[in-house]
Amino acid sequence: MAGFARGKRRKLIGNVLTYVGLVTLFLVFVFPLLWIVGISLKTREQIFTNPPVFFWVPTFENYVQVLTQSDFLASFGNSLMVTTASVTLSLLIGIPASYTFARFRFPGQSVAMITLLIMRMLPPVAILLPLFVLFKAVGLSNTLASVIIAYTTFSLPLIVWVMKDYFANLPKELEEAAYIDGASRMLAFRKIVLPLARPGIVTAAILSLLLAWNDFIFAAILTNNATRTSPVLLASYAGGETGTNWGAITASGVLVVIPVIIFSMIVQKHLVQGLSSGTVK
Amino acid sequence: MASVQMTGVRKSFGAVDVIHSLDLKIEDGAFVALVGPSGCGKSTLLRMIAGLEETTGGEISIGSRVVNELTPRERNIAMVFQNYALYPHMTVAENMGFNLKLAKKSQAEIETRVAEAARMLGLTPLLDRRPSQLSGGQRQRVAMGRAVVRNPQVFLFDEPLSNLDAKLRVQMRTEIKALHQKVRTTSVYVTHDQIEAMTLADHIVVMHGGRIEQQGHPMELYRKPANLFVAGFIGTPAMNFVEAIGGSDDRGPLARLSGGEAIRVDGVRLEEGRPVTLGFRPEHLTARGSGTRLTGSARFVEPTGALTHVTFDVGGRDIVAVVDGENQVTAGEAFEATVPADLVHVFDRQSGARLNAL
Repeated sequence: MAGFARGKRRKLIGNVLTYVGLVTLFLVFVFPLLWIVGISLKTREQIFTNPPVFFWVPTFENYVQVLTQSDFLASFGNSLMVTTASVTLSLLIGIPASYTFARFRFPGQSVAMITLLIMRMLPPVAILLPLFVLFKAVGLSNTLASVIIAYTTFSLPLIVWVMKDYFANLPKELEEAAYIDGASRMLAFRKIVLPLARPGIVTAAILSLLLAWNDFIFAAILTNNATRTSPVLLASYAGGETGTNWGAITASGVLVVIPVIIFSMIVQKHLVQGLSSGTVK
Repeated sequence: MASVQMTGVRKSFGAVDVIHSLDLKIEDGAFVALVGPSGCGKSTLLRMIAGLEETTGGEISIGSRVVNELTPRERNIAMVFQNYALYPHMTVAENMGFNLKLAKKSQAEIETRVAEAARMLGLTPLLDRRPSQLSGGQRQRVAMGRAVVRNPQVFLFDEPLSNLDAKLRVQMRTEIKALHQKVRTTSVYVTHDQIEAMTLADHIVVMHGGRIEQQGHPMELYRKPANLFVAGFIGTPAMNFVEAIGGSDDRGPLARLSGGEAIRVDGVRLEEGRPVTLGFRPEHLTARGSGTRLTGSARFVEPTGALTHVTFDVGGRDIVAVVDGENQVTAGEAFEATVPADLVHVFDRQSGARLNAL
């Protein structure tokens, strides 16, 4: 009896320790985000109070300030545009490309795959300057198109590497069954392969979305005040004659994170659905 | 329905020849089994009929049409895959109706035909399920349903039962046979399991190394195997083989084992001293009756119920006999059996070709 009680207590202690660990981890990951949200809801004076205030009446003046500036909305619009276009373009090119890599044998295949990786291994700056010169030469400097092309170039290797394995792991017999059922290669791809590859496509889309949405360095060099994206605008709040505008930085930071969170929540469902749709055997 | 004819068909993957100039005619409405060990080219041949594999040389026709250059779609064949290849994101009904949908049939017609096939295969209560919610046998049946629903010219089966457990395999075997008797569609069935081939097919094609070793009615292959390969492949337990030297005495032809025992043979003329391989089936060895008596000691006794397999030692060779299960045989004790002369197969030791009259 005593032994049983001791075992129970030990289990309880184990549980408590597990939860303490989980809560600590949660705080470590979420604290910066909460802190940013907190600052965005403070006045300029409250932000600089030392020691920091932990209880205050939230104010939305930073949000009002940011949202009433045409700068923010314009850059937000640019970000949306650039991201949507580069994700769409990357998927449109990347999915057929990775399917080709997965299902066909052609000379130079592995060289091509490695070349794609090498593109990603280079530090972005190494590619940035040639790109800048190139875009200038073709008259694309300071345009959204230049950023879209740059992001697509960088997303493609990611998509191809993620999706190639995904396609390769789909049983080939499924496509063969579709051919026998009367489908052309294209139709089998659309009706059988694409629906089954949905979780992979979603993963690839998230990766390329984060790349485009959060990028600073490409946009900083390739855009001007009219075409700059949100991260570039955010950076401009730092420094300057009036010092760093922490309220504006944090408020626009929060606003910029929201679309990503919404997108992730929407597509997460597809990720799970894909995983549970079942195997063939 | 249609016949399938192959003339001089060849297939190579790079420098490797998988099928060597093969001729085969499959009659309209027949059930033909392609059987052989793995790597013999049987699946490749099936996939060539389906149009999933290009033909390196020769001609394949279905009905009166040469189909070499046609896509699988244009050949109007149905195929059941080893892993079923059901579309995981579609329901059973959608899986079965996919072909009709692609053929732009009306929704009403698709529903009627799917319902009819489902009734025939006992799938009606499962029509709204996804493949992942089905058992192995049910998936197998859906795969067959997908094939019958479209009323194709030829059914192709690629080892369809090898993913099932033993009991289900026997049950599905019967269902496939029943299905064929009902719809009478020309069927080509690939298997490495000779029992499956024997029980299902009315014509068996034994393949080995990309060539046809022998073809014919199952019982013909069993009774008169054309060579050592077919003799060893068809029948379980496998045929006993012993090496012997040909000869004869005043009562007719016989073959002498190295120990000096003479086994009487029939239907063959053997010149003195010719090296041969004798084959006799375990089930043809009897306790009594006329023929050559083989004596030895029982090494293993394996009861299977109705029958008992006895491995006994004859002059250092293991010979298997199948005896009635009621017989009391004990390992280590003396055992003897008789080989009837007319059931001894004689093969040339070099070429492996059958020497008895076919």
